[in-house]
Amino acid sequence: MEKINFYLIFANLLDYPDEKKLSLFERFENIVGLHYTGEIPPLENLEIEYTKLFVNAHPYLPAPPFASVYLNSENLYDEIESFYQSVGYGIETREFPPDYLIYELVFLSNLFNDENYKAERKFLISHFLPWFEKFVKKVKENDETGFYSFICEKINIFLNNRLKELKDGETNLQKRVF
Amino acid sequence: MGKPISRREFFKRSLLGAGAIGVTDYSYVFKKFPPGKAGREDVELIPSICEMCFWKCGIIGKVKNGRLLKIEGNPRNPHNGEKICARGNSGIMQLYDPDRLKYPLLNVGKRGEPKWKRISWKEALNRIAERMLEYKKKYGARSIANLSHGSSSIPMRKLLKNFGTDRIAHASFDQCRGNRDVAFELTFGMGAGSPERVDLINAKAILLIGSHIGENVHTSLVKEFIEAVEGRKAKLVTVDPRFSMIAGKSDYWLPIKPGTDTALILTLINYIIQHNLYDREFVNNYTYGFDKLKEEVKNYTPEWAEKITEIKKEIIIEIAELFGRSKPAVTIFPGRQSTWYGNDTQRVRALAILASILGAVGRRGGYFFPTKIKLKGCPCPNKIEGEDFLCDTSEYPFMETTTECIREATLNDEVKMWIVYGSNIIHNTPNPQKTIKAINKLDFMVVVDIKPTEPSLYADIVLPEATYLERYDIPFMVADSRTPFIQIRRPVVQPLYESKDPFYIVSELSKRLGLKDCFPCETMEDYLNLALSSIGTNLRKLEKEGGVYRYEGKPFLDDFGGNYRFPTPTGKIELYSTKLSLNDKDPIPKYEPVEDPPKGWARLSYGRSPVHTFSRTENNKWLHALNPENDLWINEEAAKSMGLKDGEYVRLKNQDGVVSDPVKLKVTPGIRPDMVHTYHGFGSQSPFLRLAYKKGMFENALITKIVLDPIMGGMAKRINFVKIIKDGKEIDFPVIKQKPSGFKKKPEKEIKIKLTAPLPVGGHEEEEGGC
Ligand code: SF4
Repeated sequence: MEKINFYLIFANLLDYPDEKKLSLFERFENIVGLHYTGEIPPLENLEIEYTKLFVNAHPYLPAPPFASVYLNSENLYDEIESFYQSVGYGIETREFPPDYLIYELVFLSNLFNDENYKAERKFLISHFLPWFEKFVKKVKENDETGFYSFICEKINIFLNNRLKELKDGETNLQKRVF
Repeated sequence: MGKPISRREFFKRSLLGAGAIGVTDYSYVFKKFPPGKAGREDVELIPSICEMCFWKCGIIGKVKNGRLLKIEGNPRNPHNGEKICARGNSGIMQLYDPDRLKYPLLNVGKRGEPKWKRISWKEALNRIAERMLEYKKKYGARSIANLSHGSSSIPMRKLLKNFGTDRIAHASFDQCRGNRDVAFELTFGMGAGSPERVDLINAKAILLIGSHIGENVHTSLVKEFIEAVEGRKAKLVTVDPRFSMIAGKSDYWLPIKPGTDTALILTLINYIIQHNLYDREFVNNYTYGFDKLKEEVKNYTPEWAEKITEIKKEIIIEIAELFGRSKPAVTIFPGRQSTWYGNDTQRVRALAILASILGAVGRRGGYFFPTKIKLKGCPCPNKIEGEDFLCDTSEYPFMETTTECIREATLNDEVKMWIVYGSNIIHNTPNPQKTIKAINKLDFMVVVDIKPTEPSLYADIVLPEATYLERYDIPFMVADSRTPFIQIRRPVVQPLYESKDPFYIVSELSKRLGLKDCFPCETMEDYLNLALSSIGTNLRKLEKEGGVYRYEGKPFLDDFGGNYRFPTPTGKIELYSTKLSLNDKDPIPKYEPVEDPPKGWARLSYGRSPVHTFSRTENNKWLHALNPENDLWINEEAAKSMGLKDGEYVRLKNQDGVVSDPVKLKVTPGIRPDMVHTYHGFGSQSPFLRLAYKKGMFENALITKIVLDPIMGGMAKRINFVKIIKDGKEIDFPVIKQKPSGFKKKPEKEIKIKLTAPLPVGGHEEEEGGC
């Protein structure tokens, strides 16, 4: 099976579910080193839960997957895009605003592939983790299936560890593809 | 919800679906460049049209790398030029509002408390088309109704007429300016225009009745107003029971008793006739029924009017003389939202008659004429089954299908499905409780919108529409202008998420409905190119030229060599309406009293916030920061005697026992003691709108009583009465007797301001209907 980096696996699992994307769940468990002990809901239930958590929901949308919801900055879009551009990436599709969770994970996966660990670390520290932690909290409070809470929480722990590794200068994690 | 599946089963299934390499690699999201050189360096300037309200100002979107950075006015636009208002500037925050609708949604939960599942467009449109065909077969096409607002809903309305239903109502008719336009049609054979066709810049005197221009911000109109009043010193008379922003700029402020405006206007007409202040030559040449008018209004004297309107007779006389002196350069502003007290078409008729006897029609300083040209179109013919359905026209002869007709027909089980298009029917239609009752009777409801507003809570399927910054619309001909022009709305950026433009929605739907002759054009670009070919241009050329095509107008009588036939049955301005007479309605307006608030109650009035558009913008981050909630204007003396203080929160209770959310008091001498006033559109009931939810008071919930205009069936709303509730206790309004009044500005030292070139105001196609 093709090797892909963990950021891309996270992006697939946090995007709107379909069978293809969910096929990565086992690899996800290998990354985080833990088996999901809860019940795995049928796809339709995951679709409904996903819509409720991240798309539109009643009585309110608990966890919009956009950084600007959690951070207070008037120029956030500019700041993010400048960061993308400073390391040689321009957004090609405008389907979502530049602060969309999946875009940010894809960006991190690009940095990882480029072995640009300095930028990866900087993006995690100065932008991604501060909002992602708040986002995870919201998911955990509202997810009725437990499935997305599991994924989000494990990603959060994993990325915090990843940050430590990057800080320690241990940067040979390119081996870590799954 | 389905049963959980076993772990083995889960992986078996997902791997089956996945194939060997099942991941999305998202390689399309980013493009690689040398560091720091990503994307285009330049900023593209893209001309389009604003839709933060329905005034259609020309804009330029400044776009870098596909992202909208700033919106500015389009200097090529003859109306707004470089200027746009706060809302126009804040369009960016509508585009990038995280609460937007993003995908088609299917409600798998309850109405009012939806549980949504994202579905594909294909599935959504299939489901909608299936229902439409099923209901048409079982109950006929008229079992499907449409409630809509704004130009993007036009293609859907056309499609539905082609499908065979005429149960189509737009809020701008029955809840806003329908009675005004019917009154103008009856008098002049044409509506009042939107923007209104008023030659303010050349006016020597202006009359505003209940129009709060400046709080109701329409950029080009406000611009021209300022120039007319501040620059050219036109005398401004404002009739309003509230000291509105524009009342503060007026030469005369008449705090009229609510409901008595027609008495004042008829008195002005009578005085002007009796004192030979009217334009005799114009009246002879261009009007019909002057003698009957003279006879009909003869008892409306200033002495009589003083008692009715509580405006001093001396002031009434002074104003009548001012208008007589200034004729024909008098702008009698037609007003906009006009559904007030129940007999509103006649009030606006009286305004039209006043303008006509002053000769202020087709003359500089008064009303001007529209200039239309013919554009080719991508057709979608009407195919309405059987006779036209028009509610109960015997009672309301000039009624179009109204929201009320549709509500009633739904409660009577004649309608099974609603398509609500861009219209917040919970906020804009009085008695929302009744609307919800009707919705609960429906078999199926579809909502097309850009945001999850209240109606979407009740929908079975919600479709996310592209915002005005992401789509084309049908061509906008600004025919009601002294300098008429055609402008095009085009996408400034690509649509976000899976939002789609109206043309995609209706053309996909028409394929599924088997409607072959509806919109045969392939794309919206084809449609627009076809239309523009009639004037020898195309989209690309027009865009290069700044997005505006001008053509010559014929706005004044002079342009017709003084020989003009009005499109009425008599060919003249009908002071005496032949159509009304045929339909057993008063051919000349009469004053009819409206119900006063009972002792202890005050009338509830509403208006617009300068930085919001109805209930459409309260969730916009920038506009929310400027004006997060509405407050309640209450008279100082009344508040004192009721023990109420400025800034404190109270609730309102209406005559039918409906209690509002808390609202902040604004205690002021600038309002009569027999009424309270608030801004419309706040207090969203949709928890999806995180900024707007429950901010301020949802005033429409208090408007449970309505009276239908006897001529066109519009819904009068300013006939509801309220009391205050503080700390759970009801407080009566005191009876404060009003002496006749009327205020005149003291002469002030001259302030020198620099004039810019006069800027015209013009109009748009009626059908594009916003309020
Ligand atoms: S008046 Fe303001 S909101 Fe309305 S179209 Fe013009 S700029 Fe846009």
